[in-house]
Amino acid sequence: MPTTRAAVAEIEALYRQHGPALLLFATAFAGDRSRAQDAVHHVFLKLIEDGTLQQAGNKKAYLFACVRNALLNDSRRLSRTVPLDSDAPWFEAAGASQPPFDPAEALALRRALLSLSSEQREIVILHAWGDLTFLEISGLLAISHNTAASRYRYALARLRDSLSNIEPAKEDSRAGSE
Amino acid sequence: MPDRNDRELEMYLRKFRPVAPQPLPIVASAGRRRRFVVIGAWASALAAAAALAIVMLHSPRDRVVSVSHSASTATPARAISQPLTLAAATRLLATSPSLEAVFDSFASETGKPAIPKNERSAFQVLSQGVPRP
Repeated sequence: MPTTRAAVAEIEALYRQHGPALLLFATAFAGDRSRAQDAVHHVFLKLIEDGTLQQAGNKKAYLFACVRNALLNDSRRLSRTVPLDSDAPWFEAAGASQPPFDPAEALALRRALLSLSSEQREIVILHAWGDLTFLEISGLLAISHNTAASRYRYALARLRDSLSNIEPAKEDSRAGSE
Repeated sequence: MPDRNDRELEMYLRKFRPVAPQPLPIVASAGRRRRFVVIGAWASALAAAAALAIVMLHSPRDRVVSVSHSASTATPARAISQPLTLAAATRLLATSPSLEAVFDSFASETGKPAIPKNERSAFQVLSQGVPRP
């Protein structure tokens, strides 16, 4: 189906709107920024080429599903596990109106996210940054709604522990430097 | 560290904005294409304006030349568009390059205008013969 100019504009708008969350999701899933970036680009370019986005009911959930499938296909193609990239930042300053951005805090959050299992990590990212409901997540991951919700709760508990472990360490390092 | 409440932890997480991906290659190339189109349009417009200015600068002189040219080499057909009287025929013979051209112009003339009642055509005058002194 040929993609109209209006459809391309819509895809570009979706890219601007959901691109950051999709990239975060892909980075956490793939463990490699460049692979994640390629997967997100691949999905959007394919959507522009094929014009299949018009058929999707829930476009946001569809985009996450596309990125996930692209990464799964890529993993199968590579047929190896890629170690999580420890250097590329996952978060950035949100702007002048937002609370001041602390790179150390962002790094701590990334480490806490990495301490989760991949299933928990993807649910946290899909819900917290992707703004997907548990129903949408259950459809995307082919799990039940309850499984998605409980997995999320467990993930938050674990995340909380990780962050609280990191926080005292940070305080200790600050006290040591003073 | 935020409160232990799940909701507050969620809010804390959302304070962090994920890094934006790089622009889509197609969007970047489309931007470049749009720039080329805009530059091309401006270049075409400037070229058209320059051509128009040249035409306008040269066209009055051309018009004078063409008018004088048409006056000096009036075709017989134009000359005989008026009623063909003896005076007109004489004028036609004087201005035409040859006699054949005059007859050709007669042959090609269509829709000959009517001759006023108080005048006679050159044919009528010639057919009656010129009175000899």
